[in-house]
Amino acid sequence: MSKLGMLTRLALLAMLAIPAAHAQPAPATPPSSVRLDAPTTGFDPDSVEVHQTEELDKNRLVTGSITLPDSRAATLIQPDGRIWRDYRRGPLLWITAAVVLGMIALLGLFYAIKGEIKIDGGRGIATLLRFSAFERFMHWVTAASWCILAISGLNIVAGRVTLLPLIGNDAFSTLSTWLKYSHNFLAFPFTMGVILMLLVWVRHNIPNKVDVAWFKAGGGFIGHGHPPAGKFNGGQKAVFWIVVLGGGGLAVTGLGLMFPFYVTNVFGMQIIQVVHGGIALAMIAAMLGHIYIGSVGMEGALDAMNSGDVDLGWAKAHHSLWVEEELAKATRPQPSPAE
Amino acid sequence: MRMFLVAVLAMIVVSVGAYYALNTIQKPVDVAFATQAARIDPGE
Amino acid sequence: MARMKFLCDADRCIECNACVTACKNANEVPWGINRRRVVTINDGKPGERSVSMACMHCNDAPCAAVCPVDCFYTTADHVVLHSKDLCIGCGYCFYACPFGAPQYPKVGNFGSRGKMDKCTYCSGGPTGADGSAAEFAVYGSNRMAEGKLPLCAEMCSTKSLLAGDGEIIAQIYRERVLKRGYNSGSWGWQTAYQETINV
Repeated sequence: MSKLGMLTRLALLAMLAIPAAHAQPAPATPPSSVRLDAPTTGFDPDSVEVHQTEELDKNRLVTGSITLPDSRAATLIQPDGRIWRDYRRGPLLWITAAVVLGMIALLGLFYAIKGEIKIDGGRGIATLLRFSAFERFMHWVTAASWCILAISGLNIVAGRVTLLPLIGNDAFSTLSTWLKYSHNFLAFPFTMGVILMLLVWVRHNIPNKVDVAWFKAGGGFIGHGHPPAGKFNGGQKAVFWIVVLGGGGLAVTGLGLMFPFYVTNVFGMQIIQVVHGGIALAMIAAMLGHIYIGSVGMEGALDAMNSGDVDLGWAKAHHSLWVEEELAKATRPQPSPAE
Repeated sequence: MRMFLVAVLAMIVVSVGAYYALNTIQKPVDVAFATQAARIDPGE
Repeated sequence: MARMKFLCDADRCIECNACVTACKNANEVPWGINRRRVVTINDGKPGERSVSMACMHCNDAPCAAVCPVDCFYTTADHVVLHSKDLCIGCGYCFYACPFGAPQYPKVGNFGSRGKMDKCTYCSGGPTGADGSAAEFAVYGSNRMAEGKLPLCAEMCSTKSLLAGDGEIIAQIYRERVLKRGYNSGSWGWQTAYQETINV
């Protein structure tokens, strides 16, 4: 055998020997996880687990990363939807029924006992202009919009359990589609009306001592008597601020609902929705009272918004201070124009 | 009564106006969530 | 009757998005609508998990409960579907869904967000006959009517996404857990349902 051949065989043997020398004995138990050689820090990657509660405690959501352009899709789980759902199917329905039906019942009872508050001495022939054409215009824009907004809003809350069983799914969906469009777009004339009312009437609605006395005297509702009042009495000022602040709140939350996820995440949207509904319900209760007293509750009240001219006797009884101001304005000598 | 009717007219005008105004800023999702290069129909 | 479910094995998912692609293809899902999506928790860090998420077809579906027009229904296979004819596009089902399954064609809610679309478990919908072109145009494929399982699970490259009768896939998952010797504890269950589970 040549030297090269010998060397080659030795080399081959040596090469075979090397792996044989390094062969590990079969492990007694299979490893519980695949282990790579630990980095120099000695950190064990399997010692870190993803804890559900950690993710959740951070911001009520479990989020990760996602390759979709819609970053909101990176939210994997939002458990608060359950709370919102339970609220909508339970407490919300009962509270709505209690407030709306309760208020109607209360007003019915009041009418049954007190009846329509009549003008003392009956209607006269003299009238006084109470609300200008523009004031009536902005009131009706707000009021008519609000009525449809309230009805369409109540449909979203309770229509499924009240109206749907009566008219069936197809008709109810068609109606609800129209009502939802009305709700979203009548919000704009409503908001416009509220802003106009704020600008035109705010100076007449600043609370003062006269209102305290008015409330103390029961406003003329409880018992008899006509406590003095300005252009707007204490009760009307309350209605004004409910409309402005409540309506403003509804406008802001409503805008948030119309632009979903523009300013907040899904939990925020649930909060906005609940607040929107809560303010609306409170407003419904207040406006039922306002509508009652402005229509059947008091003789001569509707004239103010209908034609703008009110019976002078009615005005003197219910808004004595305002009548004095108006008469003073009328009889004040007009300044003569400069020559 | 007349102002009530004028008010209803104003409501309709403002609502319909709002509808058209908002439609111009409405984004269908295939435009909102697809980058320019990825769109099938480069309309926007 | 079988109760159809999805289960995504978070220890196997490799974020390949084959399920997403399969769903989009089989149902001709329009751009921007994501019936199925893959979310990666702790991306790049130890303990990274990917989960494929679409509608979980809940037993007591929150979407169905909050819908103002009651447009949802449950099939005999316990698949949660809805009618796009009745849907008014209000967006409430998304607020209620713990998993973000409902998708809408429009971003702004100006009157409507458009007709809601979501994973149908490849079961089509209430329009037209099973497997008809009319049904496909509105709701996508109806593989269940042909006796097939949803395409996302069929296409899963690692068989992390399981679809089928709840009992059967639970059994498969249980066997995997035993074989592996560890699991991630049905990742997400405790969060979504606020209950503990015993594997």
